[in-house]
Amino acid sequence: MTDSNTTPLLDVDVGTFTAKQSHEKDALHLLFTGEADTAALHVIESFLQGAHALAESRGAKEVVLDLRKVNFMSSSCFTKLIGWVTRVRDTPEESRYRIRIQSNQASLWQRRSLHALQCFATELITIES
Amino acid sequence: MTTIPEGEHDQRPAYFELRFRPNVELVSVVRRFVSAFYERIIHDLEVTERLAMVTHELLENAVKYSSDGETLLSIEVDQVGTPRNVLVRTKNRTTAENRSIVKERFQEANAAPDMFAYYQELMRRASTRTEGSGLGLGRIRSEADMSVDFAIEGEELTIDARTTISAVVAA
Repeated sequence: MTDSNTTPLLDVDVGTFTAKQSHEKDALHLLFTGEADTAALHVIESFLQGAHALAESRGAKEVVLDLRKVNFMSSSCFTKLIGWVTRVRDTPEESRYRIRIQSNQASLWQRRSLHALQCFATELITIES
Repeated sequence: MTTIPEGEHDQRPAYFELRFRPNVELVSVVRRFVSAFYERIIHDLEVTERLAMVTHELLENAVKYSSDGETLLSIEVDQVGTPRNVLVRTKNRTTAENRSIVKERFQEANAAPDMFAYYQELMRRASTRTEGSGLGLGRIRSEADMSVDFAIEGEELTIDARTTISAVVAA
């Protein structure tokens, strides 16, 4: 579901990776599942760009990114997350939103990479396990 | 050929080599294959996850920077001794420009007094460029806790990622 004045943000499925979105009150929810590797690279980039545009247009205060079912993420895909966080950080304060990441702390990559991402933008990111 | 007496485990390192022309799809296929290999000889899911990530990052680099597309991947895991050594190696031909970038990245990383701070710097760099940030190698050091070294012989670039693990259970 999207507003008529924004680019539609479509759910994507590349077989080994899916990205879905939903909206609730002031928050946009993004759900990633599967393996975030080379097959998912461009999908992640365009999906996060779309999510950012949608969150801005709706005046979202928070975007929740659920990564609990992502069992692998390559550094190329991680770079797309970093790019998204940087874009949010560069957004004017009045339309900036917070990022809440739901994680699976049993997963090594999630513990390590998401901790590093949080340190990269402590003012923006909350990690939940 | 060495014959292992009945009832005894082979004490030689578990080892394989794969020479192929990786593309983006094959990197993921090989990561899944080596995950199964690691799981079979190292009964530790976290170590398996670390090593699979390292293998993936090294192969992705090889896909991006190999000049003829061919890469040799070799993996060796000690089955005796404490701690046990693990080596993940990629070897491929690459251009003079890429060899020079690799040298620069390694010099920079080796000079960094704080690996996590350096990793944060690589993340800043990755946010402004799409290629060649060095994030993959930084991730191997910072997230997978492996030492990484390189050697250049002619056009051939070898990258070694090494670590030790506390327990390996032979299959």
